[in-house]
Amino acid sequence: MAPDQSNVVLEVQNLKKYFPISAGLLRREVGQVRAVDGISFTIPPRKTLGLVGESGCGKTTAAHTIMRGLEPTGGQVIFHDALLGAVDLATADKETLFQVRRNMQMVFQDPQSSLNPRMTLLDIIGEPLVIYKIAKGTELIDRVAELLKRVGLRPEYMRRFPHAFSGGQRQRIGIARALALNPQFIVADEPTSALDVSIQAQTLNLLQDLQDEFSLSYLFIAHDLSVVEHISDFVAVMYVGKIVELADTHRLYHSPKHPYTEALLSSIPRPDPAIQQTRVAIRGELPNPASPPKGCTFHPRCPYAEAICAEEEPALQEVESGHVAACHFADNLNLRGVNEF
Amino acid sequence: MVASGDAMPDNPISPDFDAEETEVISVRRLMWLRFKRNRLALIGSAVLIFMYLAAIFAGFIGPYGLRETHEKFPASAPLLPRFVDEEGNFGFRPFVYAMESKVDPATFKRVLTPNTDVKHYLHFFARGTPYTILGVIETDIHLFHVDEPAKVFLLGTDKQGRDLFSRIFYGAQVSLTVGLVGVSLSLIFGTLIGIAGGYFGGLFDDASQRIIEVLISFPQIPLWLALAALIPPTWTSVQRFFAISIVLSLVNWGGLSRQVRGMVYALREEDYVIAARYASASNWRIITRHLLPNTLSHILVVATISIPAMILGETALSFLGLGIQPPMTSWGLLLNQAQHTRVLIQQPWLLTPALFVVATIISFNFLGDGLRDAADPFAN
Amino acid sequence: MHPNLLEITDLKTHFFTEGGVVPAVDGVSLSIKRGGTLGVLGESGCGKSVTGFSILRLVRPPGRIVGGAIHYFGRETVNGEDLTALDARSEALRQVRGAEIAMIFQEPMTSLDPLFTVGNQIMEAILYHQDVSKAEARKIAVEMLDKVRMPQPADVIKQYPHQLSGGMRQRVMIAMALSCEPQLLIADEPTTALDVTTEAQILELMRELQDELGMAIMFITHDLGVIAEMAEEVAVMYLGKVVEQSDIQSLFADPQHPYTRALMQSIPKVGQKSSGRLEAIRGMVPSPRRIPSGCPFHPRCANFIADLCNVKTPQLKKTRAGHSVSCFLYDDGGSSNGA
Ligand SMILES: Nc1ncnc2c1ncn2[C@@H]1O[C@H](COP(=O)(O)OP(=O)(O)OP(=O)(O)O)[C@@H](O)[C@H]1O
Ligand SMILES: Nc1ncnc2c1ncn2[C@@H]1O[C@H](COP(=O)(O)OP(=O)(O)OP(=O)(O)O)[C@@H](O)[C@H]1O
Ligand code: SF4
Ligand SMILES: [Mg+2]
Ligand SMILES: [Mg+2]
Repeated sequence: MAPDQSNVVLEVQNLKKYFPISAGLLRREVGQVRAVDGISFTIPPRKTLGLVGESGCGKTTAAHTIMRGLEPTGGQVIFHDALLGAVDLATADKETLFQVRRNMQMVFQDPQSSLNPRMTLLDIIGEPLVIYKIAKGTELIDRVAELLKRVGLRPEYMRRFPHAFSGGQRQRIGIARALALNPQFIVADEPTSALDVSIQAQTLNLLQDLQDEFSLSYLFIAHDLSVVEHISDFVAVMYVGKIVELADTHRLYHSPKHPYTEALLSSIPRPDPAIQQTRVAIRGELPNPASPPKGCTFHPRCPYAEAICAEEEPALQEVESGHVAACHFADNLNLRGVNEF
Repeated sequence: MVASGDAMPDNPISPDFDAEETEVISVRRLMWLRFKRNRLALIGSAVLIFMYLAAIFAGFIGPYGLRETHEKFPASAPLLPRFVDEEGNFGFRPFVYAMESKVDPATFKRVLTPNTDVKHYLHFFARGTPYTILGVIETDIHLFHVDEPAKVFLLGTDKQGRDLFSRIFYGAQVSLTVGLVGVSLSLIFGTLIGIAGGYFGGLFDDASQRIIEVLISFPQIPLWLALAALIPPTWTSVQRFFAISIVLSLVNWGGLSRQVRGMVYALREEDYVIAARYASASNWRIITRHLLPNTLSHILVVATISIPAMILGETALSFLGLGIQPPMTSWGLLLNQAQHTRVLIQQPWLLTPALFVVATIISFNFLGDGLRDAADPFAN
Repeated sequence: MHPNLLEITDLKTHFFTEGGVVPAVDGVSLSIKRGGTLGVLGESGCGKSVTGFSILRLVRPPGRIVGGAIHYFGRETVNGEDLTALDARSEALRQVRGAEIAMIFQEPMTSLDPLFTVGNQIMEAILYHQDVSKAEARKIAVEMLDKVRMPQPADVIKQYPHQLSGGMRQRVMIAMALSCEPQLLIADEPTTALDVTTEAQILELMRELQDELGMAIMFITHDLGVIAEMAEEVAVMYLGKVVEQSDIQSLFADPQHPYTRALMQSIPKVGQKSSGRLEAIRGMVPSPRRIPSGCPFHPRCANFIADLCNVKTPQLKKTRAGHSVSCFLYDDGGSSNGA
C-alpha cells in the first residue's frame, strides 16, 4: 500500500454517539443521551485542533468514540495512516484497528487513574512495545529509558510505582506511554486540567516540543480557553454534543461568529485587575443532553435569540472560508472578540 | 532560561531536585504500615496464629489423644493442676492428686475423691500418648503430662471420659481448615465467575447474577442442611470433611463473586485499562495484568471476612449432627454434646469450645478490617 | 471600631503525621478589612485551606494550631478576641462559626448532605443560630435562595442536592453561608469545580452580595484571573508562608517575589497568542515534609543568590506602601532577619 501523502491526518464526519437511557425492571430503553450529535472536523498533519466546551458537552465521549473505545452510533472517523492509507475507524475490523492504534494514542485527564498502581513505569510505558512485539529484554529497557528521558524523568525511576510521583510527573509518564509506539496522532483529553499552574506550563511546553520533534498531530481537549488558545492552530467550540463554531485560533478568539463563543470568551477571568470586564449576560447552565432544547440548543441562554431560534435548528455554515458557525444570525451579528470586553 | 545541560536541555527540570522529592516506599511496605496501624487487627492475627499453630501441634498441646478415653472419669469436672497442697503449703511446681473413684455407700453414686497422700507433679515436655504432627512427624512429647494414675483435665471430660482440652485442639484442625478449604473453593468459583461477568458483561453476566441472587436470598441454614443431608452416610470422615467444605462454599461463593464483579466492573472503566485497550492489549492481558493485581488484595479481604461464616456453618451443621461425624471431631461436634439444658447445667465445661469459636470469629473479623485498610494503601 | 475585622499574626498550624511533621501553615500573618476582600493565592498544598480552617478552628487531628493568634474584631468585641484561645467546643466559638464567620468550599457536594433537602439544610443552619420558628426559617431560606438568584426558590428548597447542577449547589452553599449575615465569608475555591460561564455568574453574584450585605470576604484560589477579578488585597502563599502581600493593582503591575513573577509568566494569556513556549517554573513544589532550607522557593528560583537564599530565611518586608515581599532581592543583605 502506498503511504498516505494527503494533507489530513484525521477526518471526522458527522460522528454521533448516543447512550441509551434505560429504566424499569426490564431495562427498557426510554430515551437517549445525545452525548455527541454529529460533529465534523479535520486535523492536518503536525497541527493541533483544540476542542473546548463546558463540562458534559461531550468532549470526552467524542475522544473515546474517535479512538473507537466507544462504538459510534453513526458517522465516519477517517484516519490517514502512514502505512495503511485512509481507514474508517468507525467500521474498521479488529485487525485494522490493531494496525491503526500504533499510530494513534491518547493522553488522559486524571493523572491518578491513568496509571496502573500495581505496575512499574517500565511495565506501564513498555506495555505497548511488548504487545506490538517491538522490543523486549534489554532493548525494552533501553527504549523505556529513552522515553523517560524524553519527557524529563530520570531513567532510574523505571522500577518505581506511580504512587511515588507527583501529578505532573504522572502526566509525563502518561505522555511517555502514548509516545512509545511513535504515533502520528495523539488525543489529549484535558492533559493539564488536574495540574498546578506552575506544572501546567511544563506540560504544555513538553507537548509542543514533542509535536515538533515527532511531527505529531493533536486533538487537544480542554475547558481552559487560554490554554486552548496557546496550544491550538484551530479551535472547535462544542455545545451539548454539537460543534457550534470552528475556525483558526486567531479568528475564533478575535472575531467569533457564534453567541456562545462570545459568551465563553467574555467569561474568562482575566489576570489583569485593570480590565473592567463587561460580561455578555448568559443565563442558566448547560441543558440536559438527554432532552436538549428544540431549535438552536443555545437559544434559552442566548442574548440574541429570536423567534426562529426556538423553532429551527441552525445549520453549521461557512461564514468565511475556513470559519464555520451554527447560528441563524452568524452573518449579521457583530460579536466581540476576546480583547473587546 | 538557562539550559541545565541534561537530557532535557530546554525542559527546566533539575534531576537532582526530582530525586530528592520522590519518596520510595514499595506498595507492600505501605500496606504493612497501614495494617500495623490497626491494633485490633494485630491482636486478631496474633490470636489466629496461635490458633492455627495450636491446631497443627494439637497432639503436643493436649496431654491425651483424640480417642483416648478414661473410663473411670466420664463427664468429669475439670481436674486442675494445683500449687497449694492439702496442708496449705505453697510450691512453684504444679501437681495433681490422683483421684479415686468410689461409690458413695449412702447414695450409690459414683464420686471422685482425691488421694492426698501422693503429689503427682506435672512433667513438661514429657513423653505420653504417641501422636503425629501434620500426619508425618511421629512423636510422643507433650507440653505437659502427669503420670498415672493421676489425671489432668483442664476443661473436664465428656460422657465417654475423653479429655475436652485435648479434643478442642484436634477439633480446631477440622474447624479451622474447613473454612480455609471452603473459602479457597469459593475464591476459585467466585473470582472466575465474577471476573468473567464484570469484564465481559452480556448474557453470561445476567445469568450468573440471577443465579447468585437466588442463592443469596435462600435462608442459609436450611440450604446447608438440605445439601448436607445429601452427603451419603457411607462416606469416610475425610470425604465428609471435603463434602462439607463444598456445601459451605456452594452457598458462599455468590457473595464473593458479586463483590469481585463489582470491582472488575468499576475497574474496567479506569483510564489505565482503557489505555491498555488502546494499546491493543488482549482481554487476557487486561485481566491478568491490570484487573487481577488491582482486585486481588480486595478479594483476599472479602475472602477473609467470609471465613467466619464458614466456620459458623460447619459448627452449625456439626452441632445439628449433619456435619463432621465421629471419629473425626470439630468444635461443632464437641458442642453437639451440650445440646440439652440438663447437660449444660451439670457439665458447663462442655461449652468451652464455643469460646474458641467466638474468639476465632472475632479475630478473623479484626484481621479482615486490618486487611481492608491495607488493601487501599493510597486512600487519603 | 478597629479598622480590621480579622488579624492573623504568625499563625502556625502543623500536622503531626507518621511520616513527620507537616508545617502546613508556618508563620502566616494576614489582616482582613471590614467589608474588604482578601485574596489568598497559591498552588495546591501551600496551606490555603488549612489557613481557612484554622480561623474557624476546624483543623482536625493530627493537625493542631501550634502558634500565633487570630484576633477577631466582631460586632461586640472591641479589643478583639483571640480565636485560637477559645475552647474548640465552647459556646463562644459556636457563636462565631456560621453566625459571624462562614465558609464555603470547593466541592459543594461534599458539604451538602445528600439525604436531606436543600431547604432542610438551609433551615437547619438558620435555626442553629437564630431564634426563629420553623416557618420563619423556611421563609428566610426562600429569601436567601432568591437572593443568590436561584430560579424558582420555593421549588428548589424541596429538592435534594443531587438534583441540582454544580452551579446551583454552589448557590445553595452561598445562601446557607450568608443566611446568618456573617461579617466574614471564607470562600475556599468556590468556583474551581465550575465551568467558565457558571464561574462568571457565581463571581458576579458574590460581588453583588458583598455590596449588598457589606461582609468581608477571604477568597482562596489558585487562579490568577479569578484573584484579579475578586480581590482588593492579595496574599501569595508558597509552602505554608506568605511570600508576597499587596493591593491588587500593585501586585499585577509590579509583582516582586520571583515566585509571583514566575507564576504570572507561566500562564498563557488569552488574546495574546504567541507561537513561543511558556516560561515554565522549573521543578515542582517540594513535599511539605521536606521543606527546603532558607527561602522555601530557592531551588526553583531564577534569581537565587547562592549562600544566602539557601541559608537564611527572608522575612516579609515592606517595599512600598501596601506592598511587602519576603525575598532577599528586596532586602539589604538579609541583615535584619533573625531566622
Ligand atoms: N457511558 C455513558 N452512559 C450514559 N451517558 C453518558 C456516558 N458517558 C457520558 N455520558 C453523558 O454524555 C454527556 C457528555 O459527557 P462527556 O464526559 O463526554 O462530557 P465532557 O465534555 O468530557 O465533560 P467534562 O468536561 O466534564 O469532562 C454527559 O451528559 C454524560 O452524562
Ligand atoms: N489531615 C491532614 N494530614 C496531614 N497533612 C495534611 C492534612 N491536611 C492538610 N495537610 C497538608 O497541609 C498542606 C496544606 O494543605 P491545604 O489543604 O491547606 O492546601 P491548599 O493550599 O488548600 O491546596 P489545594 O489547592 O490543593 O486545596 C498540604 O501539604 C497537606 O498535605
Ligand atoms: S441561533 Fe439564535 S439562539 Fe442560537 S446562537 Fe444564534 S442567535 Fe443565539
Ligand atoms: Mg471530559
Ligand atoms: Mg484547598
